[in-house]
Amino acid sequence: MKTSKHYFLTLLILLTLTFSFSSCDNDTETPAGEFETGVFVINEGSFGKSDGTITHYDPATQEARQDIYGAKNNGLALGDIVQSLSVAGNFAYIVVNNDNKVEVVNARTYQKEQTISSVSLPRYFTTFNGKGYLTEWVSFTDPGRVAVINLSSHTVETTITTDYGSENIIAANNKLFVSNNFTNTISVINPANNQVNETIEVNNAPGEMIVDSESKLWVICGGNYGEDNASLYRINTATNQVDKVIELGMSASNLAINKAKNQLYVARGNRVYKIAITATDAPESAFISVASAVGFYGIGVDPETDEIYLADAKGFAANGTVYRYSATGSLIDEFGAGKGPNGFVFR
Amino acid sequence: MKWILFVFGCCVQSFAQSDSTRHLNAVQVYGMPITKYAVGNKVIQLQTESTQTLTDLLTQQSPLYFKIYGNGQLATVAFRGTSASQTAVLWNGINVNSPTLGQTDFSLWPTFLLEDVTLQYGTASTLYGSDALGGSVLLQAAAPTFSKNNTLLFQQEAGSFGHWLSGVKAIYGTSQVELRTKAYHRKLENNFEFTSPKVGYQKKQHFAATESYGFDQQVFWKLSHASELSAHGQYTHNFREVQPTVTSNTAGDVLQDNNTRLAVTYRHDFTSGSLLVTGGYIINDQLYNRTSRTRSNQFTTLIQYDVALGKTSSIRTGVNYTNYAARSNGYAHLLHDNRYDAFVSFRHRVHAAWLLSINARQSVYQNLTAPFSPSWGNEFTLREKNNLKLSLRTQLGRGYRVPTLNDRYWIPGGNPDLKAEDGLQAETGLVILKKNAAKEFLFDITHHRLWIDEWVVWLPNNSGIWAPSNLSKVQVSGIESQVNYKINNTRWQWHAGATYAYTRSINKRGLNAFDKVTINKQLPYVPVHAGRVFAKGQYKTWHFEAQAEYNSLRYTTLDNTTQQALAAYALLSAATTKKVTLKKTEFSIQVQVNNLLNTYYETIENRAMPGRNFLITFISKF
Repeated sequence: MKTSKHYFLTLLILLTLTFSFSSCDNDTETPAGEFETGVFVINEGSFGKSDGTITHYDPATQEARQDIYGAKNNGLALGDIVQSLSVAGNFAYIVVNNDNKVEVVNARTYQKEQTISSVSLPRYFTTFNGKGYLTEWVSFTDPGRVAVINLSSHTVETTITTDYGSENIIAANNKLFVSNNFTNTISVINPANNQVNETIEVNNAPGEMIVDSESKLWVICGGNYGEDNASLYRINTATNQVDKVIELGMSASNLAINKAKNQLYVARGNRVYKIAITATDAPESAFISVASAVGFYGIGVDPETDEIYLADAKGFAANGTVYRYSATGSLIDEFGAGKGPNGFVFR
Repeated sequence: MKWILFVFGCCVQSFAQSDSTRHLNAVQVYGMPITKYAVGNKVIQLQTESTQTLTDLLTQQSPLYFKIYGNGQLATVAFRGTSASQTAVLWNGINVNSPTLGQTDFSLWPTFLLEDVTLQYGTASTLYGSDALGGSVLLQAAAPTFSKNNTLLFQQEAGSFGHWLSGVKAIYGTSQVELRTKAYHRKLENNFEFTSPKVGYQKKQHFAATESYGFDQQVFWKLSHASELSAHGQYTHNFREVQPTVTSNTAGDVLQDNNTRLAVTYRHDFTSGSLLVTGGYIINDQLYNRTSRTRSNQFTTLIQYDVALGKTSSIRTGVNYTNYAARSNGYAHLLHDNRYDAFVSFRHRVHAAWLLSINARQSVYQNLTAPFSPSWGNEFTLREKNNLKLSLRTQLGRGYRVPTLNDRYWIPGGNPDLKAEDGLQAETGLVILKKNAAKEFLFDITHHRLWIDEWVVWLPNNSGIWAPSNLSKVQVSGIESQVNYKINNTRWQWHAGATYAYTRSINKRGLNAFDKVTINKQLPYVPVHAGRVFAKGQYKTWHFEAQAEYNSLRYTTLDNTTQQALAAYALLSAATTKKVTLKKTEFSIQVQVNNLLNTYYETIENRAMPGRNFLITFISKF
């Protein structure tokens, strides 16, 4: 009798274990398209700590999952300074600046596929006409360049030298525009022959770029560090001419555009300024002011919902916080991110 | 008894002395001990043998936590839960923390050149000035013997991962002059293998080689039976490849440090007093990636007069002047900074069972005054009979840290109006010592509390510029305890002990008025539990020792997420030494195994530390 009782107990425990194991499995099993939609936060991490991660946020459930790359790859680290993330086709390209590599992952599962390692201080990645284009600083003393990447083999086919601190890259009007952050130029590349066709002069430290509803290119120039002289440059992508400059009278480096592509957002400190593409001057007052934020380090607008996402990096002392605002400027939600959130990708 | 050949000829230390709390009134000291007025403070003297750098010495023999950026790489300390710049490091009584960064890289101090290393726990700005909030590391020359005990010592080491060290020490003495010369060269390839869970496969560390050499000269000159002049010069060169993080596969940065230190001390004893004058000149020269140079020249004068007032009291007064000149890419021009300190200390034996000291210091830097720092310490002998001594220590003191040159003058961001960090400490300790000819038992338990306000933090301001401000407020509380047991009989000597430190270092002010996430959290890189256990035995000419160290989980962010925390670890090491005497020459050979269990651990995230490694040391002394 006693023995059978033991049997029963053991069986019960075993069953419970099996059940819990299988339910665990269900949790980690990849449902189709787990990362096919949602908001992805790029957390660059502290310099020299290799603690950069990607956070996934579901705006419907308001659930944030930290370090999805680590979670899907047995706890592996992405590396030192996770600068940017781009999705193209079946792949997501995670650019790891200080580790001189791009991690290519399955865009649906975030499982590691391949590493592009023959690059130097890479920054941003984009695709155009079936090719990948990756900016590289190369070093702090050499001119930067753009690596042309074969999207099936993920190897570097050729490189195009631009100017110092090759930073952001965007395709417009069948050209590629590259902002050279250590200097004051925009390089215009003809992707047909991989040549720099033209170099446009702007203010110092050109960085993030976006294209508006009139196919004009906007670039935010940080100006001189500590001198509060950032500016917005508008470039006619047909003529490669600067056709408008808005002096911001502050330091800023984060730029985003709304769904209709006629309102720009610029973040500075714990404030966000809204600038119409028709404006000629910087706005007097902030559109959103977040008293609890230490300082924004990234801004993004969901192209579907027009919602504004603001990344507070908290001076890298703690993990960052993301504030989600409606297009009219009211707070919807806030959620935790990783260390040093610097930007967003919306899917 | 003196099994240690490593310790310099004149420096008489029995191996039994290590790790034990030094009781000032019980120890024979030379001249004016630097800790004479540290009544009520916990003071420990360390042994400098069989370690490479000051980092190894302190991690092995104390529960101090170091952030070590790899084997032989940058190492900064968190003493009693404070920051790296809240520990004063004094060389011949001169604060040698870098004036630009405000901290000491302990890996740049080879133990081969060091003699007396003393740790004083807790706030002691009244005695040592700025930075002495968490504790103080006192590097002193051993007392000269002025005897004809001429010695020549050669040391050769070979170890894992391409470690080679060659060193020579020579001592020459007469009844009036004593000369000590030391020189060493060390090379470390550092190509150890590691398996970090963040990488997932076994990897060989690349780009982490270091090379260093140094030279040290001391001269002691007995001018008369009452006066002495001494000079101490030291030059060290350190070149290293900066070990990249575990995820990196490419070469990183290189760093070269050249440190020149010079101190001249004159001492004159009067009938009831003693005058000490020290002049020091320190040059820190750092070259980053062969192009970016940071250089500081420091000139310090220290004058103090110590006078006995009757048989039970003494008083010391003094002044300290330091001039810094520093140049860096972050400064507009060559910076000059002056610091003036005046201090007074009073020590009084109120009763056979009550010793007290009262100290005070005022420091002025540029046009600002540091917080006035008084302290009050007591030592009560509660019971003393039958070889048992029970004593109680109490100490109350205020400490400060003058903001660094970077904090004040870095462009952009530097703020010349920053206030000094301001700390208030209280501690109490109980010591039980039972001692007879054959056995010695020591138990020491200390409770300490430290409130630091105006803690300087760099954060981005509204313009996105990183700038320092007197933002934080931190409360530290903790318990430190140690047990030591020694047995001496004719054949065997045993010594075993353990130390344990419990440290809560709690952030009390958020990153801004709305931040609740970082409040009441443990500061990053401060283990709550840290412990050391050791056992040593000596039989005839053989010596054995084993030790273990433990550090609990450490957070890396101020919001204390466990997902990013560093896992707790324990390390085990062991060593055996055999000594042979041939005629007048003594030889010793030591085999040491570190990290015996081949544990992968990190003291800062994603910087690999080496697994099991071996070191063979051969010493010949003539």
